[in-house]
Amino acid sequence: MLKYVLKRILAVVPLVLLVTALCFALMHVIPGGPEGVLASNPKIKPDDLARIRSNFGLDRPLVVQYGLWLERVVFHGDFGLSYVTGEPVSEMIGKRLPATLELMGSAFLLSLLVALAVGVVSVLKNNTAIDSLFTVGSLAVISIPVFWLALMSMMLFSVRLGVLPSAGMFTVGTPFSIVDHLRHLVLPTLVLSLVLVASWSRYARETLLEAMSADHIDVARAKGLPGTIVVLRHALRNAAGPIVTVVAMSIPILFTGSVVVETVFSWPGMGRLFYEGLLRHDYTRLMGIVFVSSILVALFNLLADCLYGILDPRIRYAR
Amino acid sequence: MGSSTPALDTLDKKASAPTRKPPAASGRHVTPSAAAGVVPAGRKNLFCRLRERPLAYAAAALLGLVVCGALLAPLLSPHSADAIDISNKGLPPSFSHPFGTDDMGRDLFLRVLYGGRISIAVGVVAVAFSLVVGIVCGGAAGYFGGLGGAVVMRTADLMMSIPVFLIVLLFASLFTPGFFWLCVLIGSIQWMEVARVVRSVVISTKQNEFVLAAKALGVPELRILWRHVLPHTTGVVFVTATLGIAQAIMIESTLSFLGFGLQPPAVSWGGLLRHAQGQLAVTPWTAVFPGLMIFLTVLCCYILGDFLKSALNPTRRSFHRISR
Repeated sequence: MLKYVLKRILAVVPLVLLVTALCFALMHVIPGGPEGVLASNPKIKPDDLARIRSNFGLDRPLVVQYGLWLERVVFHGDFGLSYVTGEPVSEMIGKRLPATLELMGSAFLLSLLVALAVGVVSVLKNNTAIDSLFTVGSLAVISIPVFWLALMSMMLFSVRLGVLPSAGMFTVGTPFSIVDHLRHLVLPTLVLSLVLVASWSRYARETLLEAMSADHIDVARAKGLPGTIVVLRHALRNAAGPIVTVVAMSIPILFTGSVVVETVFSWPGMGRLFYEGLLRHDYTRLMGIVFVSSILVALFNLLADCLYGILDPRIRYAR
Repeated sequence: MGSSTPALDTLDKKASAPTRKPPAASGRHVTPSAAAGVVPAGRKNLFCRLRERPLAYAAAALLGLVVCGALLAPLLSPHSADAIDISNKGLPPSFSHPFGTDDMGRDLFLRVLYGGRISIAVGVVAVAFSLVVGIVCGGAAGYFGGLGGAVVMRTADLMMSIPVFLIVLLFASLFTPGFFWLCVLIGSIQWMEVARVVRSVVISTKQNEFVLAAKALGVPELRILWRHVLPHTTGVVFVTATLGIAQAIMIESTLSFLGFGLQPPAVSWGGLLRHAQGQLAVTPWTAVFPGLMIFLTVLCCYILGDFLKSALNPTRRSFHRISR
């Protein structure tokens, strides 16, 4: 098991290298390069620009620059300074990361619970009206654009009904209260989780149905166990592995969704930081966020693989 | 539905076409109807099944309506999509303006129809690109395997396990691509799924005796792949393409909503929503209708994809066992 985990960790390295190298190349290919922001500032003279270029090491060959960037990131956790605000990027990300993780975590948990519940219920009520309602419903939910859902829920709950706040993490000018914070969390979490719920519940239903056709399920039924117990105790165990894999595979969707949801709801997280960086072409910041996101996604995948091994002993012994 | 018939049609013709080349003909004749994984249903059969499934039938009809509306846009409304008319600004939906007007008095119904042209066109072209890349890569990887195949599939795996949309956003914001490059950009994160399904069907199909027979008769490898193996992927490719169009429309609208899609005057559904974002409290209908169109179009594609999946693949109908 340990050997397997180590192997997987090593497999993450080329992935992160590839992604960051791609982004790095991209930033330097664009007209103006990374210092394009500075060049467009009329107060900065050409010789200032040359000085800045040599200070930031932008006059060196690309490969050397990438190597230096990587060295600083890996050994010092230093992503460089933002080209727009001058702040250290690692500090910027560090400040925004908790908010993003909070939003993603709550959306993740909510969707997992709901998706499993929907999956189990539709298997128990297979080929009934409830089952087909869930099936059509999940198709409908998948088809809703996230940003539109965000706009619509904002319009309904914040503008029309006025029951929930529309933006931010706290009410400005009031002392911190957990209730206030949770009220701000409700809409972004609901919107972000709806996308995942739909695809996960569909998949949970399918794998559960497949697991239900195994022989040991027939035995459990023959013993006279009630349907709920059969599904929860006997089928869900077999289905858990594939479900974990699919859940892990959709983690990138969570990052995509967080960019959109955080932008619409002004949630001060990493997704919004990324969006603002895109608008200003702040390349150190973008590089940093892409790096952190790929590492996080790779970690989640690793976790899912280990979990799969724990849930399904057949995999563990096969290795 | 119109988009899916032509290729199935050609497949039928291929099956019943007079055989000009006797050696390859036997293999060719067996191809469409042999029980090798996916059996593409005939055209008539497919339409019959569509009739049997009212939901899929409705989806096909609605999708046809949306496409026709987008194509015939100028004929459907007396207004002009770009004419600014301050005296009519911010009107709620009414008989003369079915979707209302926006903050500059432009008829939203017409703007939504024109937006549909862009959204649907991007979806279709992006998927076409992803199909070409995916079929070539998946077909080659499945048929020839080897180091090249491994590299292709590893790349696909890699791309499926990174937050690839962030990189697409990066591309789109740095280069502000035009129509063609936007489609290429979206297609380049969609080809992996195509390659994956094509590869798996090719691998299972190439085990068949007719492939061995063709090889024994000296048919060149590429020709075997093209004439005898790839036609078997038609079913899965259709399903993937239908779902792919839905996803491409979604990606395009997300990019446009964030402001990194096509630049005005080309305004897609996502672009309309971007504009509406600032007017939520004043003219809420400008935010409702474009989103509703994305929703309906994508939903119809998904329902059709679901229908095609079950109609083109008989092996999936095995879940009756549980419903005792």
